[in-house]
Amino acid sequence: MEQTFRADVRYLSSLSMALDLQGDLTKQAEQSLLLMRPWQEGLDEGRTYLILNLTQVPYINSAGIAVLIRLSRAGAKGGFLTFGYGITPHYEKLFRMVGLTEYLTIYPDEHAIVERIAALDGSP
Amino acid sequence: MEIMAEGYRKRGDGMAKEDACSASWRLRSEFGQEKIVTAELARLLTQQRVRAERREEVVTAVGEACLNALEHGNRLDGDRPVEVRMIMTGPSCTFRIYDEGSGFDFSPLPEDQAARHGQADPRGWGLLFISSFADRIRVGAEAGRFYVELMFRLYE
Repeated sequence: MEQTFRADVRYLSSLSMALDLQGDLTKQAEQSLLLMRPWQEGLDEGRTYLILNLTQVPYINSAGIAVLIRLSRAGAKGGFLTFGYGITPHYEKLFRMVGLTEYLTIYPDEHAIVERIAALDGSP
Repeated sequence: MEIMAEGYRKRGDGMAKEDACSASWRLRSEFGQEKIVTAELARLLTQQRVRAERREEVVTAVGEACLNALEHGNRLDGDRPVEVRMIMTGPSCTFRIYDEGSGFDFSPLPEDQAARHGQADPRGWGLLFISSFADRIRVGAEAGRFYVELMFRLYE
């Protein structure tokens, strides 16, 4: 019944990397997402921004939200900020209810996030 | 996968807001089975012209209640089914989600988010969604099974 979850890494720049998430974000995502790398040790090659692409995630339940909380909070230890896009208004409401938006900043699309990162970095 | 949908028994003519309909589902206690109910419920509520935001709230709450039943009530035992019964009457919709567990005290969770976030596994958000979106919650036992009853006003 569950759509198989997968997360694919995509490097955007020397500052940021993206995770393209696909499938149902549930407890089953715990293994593939949280254990794919030691997030609390930081991102690849010193990158400081992680972008979560949820445009291909049709279903998120409370267990999946818990996974996102753990991933985003790992950023505090790992020295990276987490952004997300492709999130429906309803799921954004759920994220706010549980306080996930304290660790995960939501933008309408990847372009907006890239621009925000450039502004944070002071890049032209 | 066992699906037993009794269908929609309409009382009255047509499917206007004043009519009642009911449905039931029997789920195996496996992750993902709750989507059988949520998909059908979304379709029903769309037919009943429930506005999108309220529809999604109801679907989320019922889905989480089903998930609790199959994971915590029935401990993912495939031989122990979860049964969901729905009655939609006019402006409200009531669900009973049955499992074969020993039940639990549906008390509002403390909203200490920071503490919950700090836990190794910050679960339990499902009860927050259920209590936030349902207009009435009851728990009880019937014929040796535990149930959670959720009532939603659909058009406010």
